[in-house]
Amino acid sequence: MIRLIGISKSFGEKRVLSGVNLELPAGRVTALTGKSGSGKTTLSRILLGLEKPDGGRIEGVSGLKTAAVFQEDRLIEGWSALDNLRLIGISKEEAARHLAALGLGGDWDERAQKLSGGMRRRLALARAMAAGAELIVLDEPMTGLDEGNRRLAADYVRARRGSAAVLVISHDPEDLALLDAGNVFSLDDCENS
Amino acid sequence: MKRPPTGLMVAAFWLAVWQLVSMAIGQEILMVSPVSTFLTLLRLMGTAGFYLSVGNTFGRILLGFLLALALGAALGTASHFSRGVRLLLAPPMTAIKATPIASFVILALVWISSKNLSVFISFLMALPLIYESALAGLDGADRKLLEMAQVFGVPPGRRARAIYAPAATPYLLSACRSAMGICWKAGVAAEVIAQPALSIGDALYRAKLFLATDELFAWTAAVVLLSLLFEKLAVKSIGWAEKRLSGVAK
Repeated sequence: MIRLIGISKSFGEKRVLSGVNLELPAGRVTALTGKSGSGKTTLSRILLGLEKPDGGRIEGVSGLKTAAVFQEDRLIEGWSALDNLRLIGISKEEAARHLAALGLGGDWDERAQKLSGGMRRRLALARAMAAGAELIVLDEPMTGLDEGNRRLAADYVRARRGSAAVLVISHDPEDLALLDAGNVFSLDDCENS
Repeated sequence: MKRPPTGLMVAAFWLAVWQLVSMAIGQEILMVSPVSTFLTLLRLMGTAGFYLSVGNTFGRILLGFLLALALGAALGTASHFSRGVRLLLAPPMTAIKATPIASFVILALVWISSKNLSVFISFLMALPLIYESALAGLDGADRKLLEMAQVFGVPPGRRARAIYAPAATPYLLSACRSAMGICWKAGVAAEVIAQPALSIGDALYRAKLFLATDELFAWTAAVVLLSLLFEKLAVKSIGWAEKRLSGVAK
């Protein structure tokens, strides 16, 4: 279990998070929702160790292997889809299996910069799920996917999350239902102000 | 009808201007014509001394350039990752750039043999250019990709191939092009002063001493051609190395 206890964060004068508490059970999908600017991405960055909180503490993340789908795809543009997956240290065969599972089997040799928006998003999702991480953050993972690919991506995440603690940031209740998000935590409801 | 390449037309124009100026002056000892320069170059190319001089000078300048490339890239990398190294290296790099080549040549003659002077001078002139370009390239690496690599725990070697090499290569290529020309100019100038046996600089000095203006022009033409060849070789080599480094995720 990962616990965020009393997390606070400000950028200059602007207070973004104030005393946020959140629990992420292993093997479950937790949803993080909230209005635009409520601090969802900041909280996920703190969880991933990319930002330091001004106050509070995080328990259970030390030494954990992490992975993420960021708001942007963050792919190596000049590299093929396959090499983008192999960047995280998996074999060629394993990478090909993940690409095939997300309908990218025929595009493994295509450079990331040549892929469509939806294909890039699926590639970013494959990278996050293939890493064998114990903590996975998915920030709007369905952005740019059509109905069929949303279902495909959701099935893929559900099938491969294993015992990882997964945090999904999304505005869309349908996506959260597809991803089987048991706990829904809204930053609009907490004392964050 | 197929048009001749623009580069050839431009070269032909300037050769014609050179020929006309030479004909207007009418004294080959003051302004050698392109035809005489070409014929003298052909004559020099028929001697073993020409190839020995070209080989010696080329080797020394290449060695100086390669040393600057290796050390400049290493120091640029160290400066990118350490603020202390960056602060420490800023004054000497500025000093090297601001000091006239002649000052270094005369000073270095006290420490270094005349044979190795052009190696040192080429190295010194190229070093700040390579260092600054490597540093600028690494500083410009995509922060978001670096964050991604941090989250996924991508090891340093793979980070270098995926993120740092593509960011630094365009800067390094541009610096290599500039450094090539500077290495040739500074290296040959150092040889003219130090006069190591069987070198282009020594040949230029002797041509001036004996008022052999045709040889002076022919050697200068050889330096320009070699400098162009040198630049093309270096740019191709770095492009090849970049492809090898960043092309696969092994």
